[in-house]
Amino acid sequence: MEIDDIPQDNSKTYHGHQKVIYATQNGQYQTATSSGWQDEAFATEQAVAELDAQTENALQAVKNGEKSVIYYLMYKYRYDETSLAQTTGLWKWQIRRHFRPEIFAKLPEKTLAKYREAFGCKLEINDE
Amino acid sequence: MNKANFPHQHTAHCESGVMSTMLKAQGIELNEAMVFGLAHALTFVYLPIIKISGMPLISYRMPPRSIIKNVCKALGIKLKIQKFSTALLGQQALDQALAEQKLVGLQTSVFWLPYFPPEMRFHFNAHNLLVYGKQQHEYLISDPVFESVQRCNEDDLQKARFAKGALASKGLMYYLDSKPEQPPELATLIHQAIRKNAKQMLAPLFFVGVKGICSVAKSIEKLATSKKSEKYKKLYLGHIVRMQEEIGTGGAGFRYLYAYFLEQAADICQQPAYQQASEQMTAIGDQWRQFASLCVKQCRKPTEQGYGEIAVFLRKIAEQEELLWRSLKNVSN
Repeated sequence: MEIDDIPQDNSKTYHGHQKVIYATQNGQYQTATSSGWQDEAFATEQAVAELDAQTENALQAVKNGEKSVIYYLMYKYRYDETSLAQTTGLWKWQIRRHFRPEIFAKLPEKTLAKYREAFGCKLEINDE
Repeated sequence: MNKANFPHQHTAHCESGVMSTMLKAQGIELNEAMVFGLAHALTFVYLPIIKISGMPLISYRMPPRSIIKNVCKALGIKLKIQKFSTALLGQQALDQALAEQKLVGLQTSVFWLPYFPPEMRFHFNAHNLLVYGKQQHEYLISDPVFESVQRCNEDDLQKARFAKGALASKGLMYYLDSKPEQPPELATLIHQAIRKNAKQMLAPLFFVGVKGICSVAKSIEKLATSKKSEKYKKLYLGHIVRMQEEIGTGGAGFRYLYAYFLEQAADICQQPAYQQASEQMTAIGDQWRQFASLCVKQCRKPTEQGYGEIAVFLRKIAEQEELLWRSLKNVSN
């Protein structure tokens, strides 16, 4: 890619940052920057939108009393069952069980502390 | 470290960037592309069994820490690497090293670094950054993927260093312990590194290198008749693009970065074939970018034949890479 051909699409996902990209000028490589590329931004936004939709659904499920707050916080803090299990040291089936409000209500302090550490916050709905 | 005018480098990739800045601070002038190339860090891995947020693992470079280790090994530099059993010990060791004027590399989580934009914060535990000082309760940070230096509060950095989960760094910190006694024999090292990289890319395994690229092409082709939802198909294509451009920085899944390395290799080794290879690699990189555009086009406006077309395009890339790596293997011998 030629330096002049580097997309400068001011992608929102870059938050005004620049990304380094290497490109050629007169056949020689140079360090250049890009303010964004719309195709890359599309892929990022699509993934983020999916995560946001999952978070929103989870929030509704918690508000309806179908799931415990853990279920919502998992999505909100960008975990899935696998990564949350790895982070808390719990098994996936345990986490799935803790999604049930009646089970969650009886969890010991020790388990709650593991979740608090993983999320870095109190275990409550904090939709700002 | 002179804190007032620390020579921060903004680079495409965190690990090669950190290593380059660290080496330059020791008087070894190797830029990011040279570090990346010498570490034979370019690869292609497709592991459908390992899922990341429900998507198969696709990577365009060697696993975390391999750049640091391979470069030091090649240059004969001793690197002091430490992990810690508790966060407190980790912080004490970092503060101690900073007090000794060391330039310290850390492996951290991206998610807990407050200076990252929210869209970029996900649970990736193998980000690399440099700490060059501390003022009161704030660390002075040179993060290679940012234009300028950053500051990070003690507690936040501790959380980022000791985040648990996959690839957990356990506070991993590293600094250069010694300078090499003689200036490195770059030409020999370059030949070796290119040979190793070619071997990686031509490995006879369906999930690695050129064969791995073909496997991904096949997986895309299958989407046309797959029973998976339209949403999954879009997210899958988007995932490939993200791994290539957003995560696989340097553009085109590191192809431009490697082409830049080959250009420098041609000069250092006095080998015109490397210059030619560099130009071919750039052309292949351009095609990777076109491939990303095709994927996005298909996400925006899916057509039935679209998946097949993308697969054909990707197979063409794989063919060209195979030719290029075969010739590089011969030249570097």
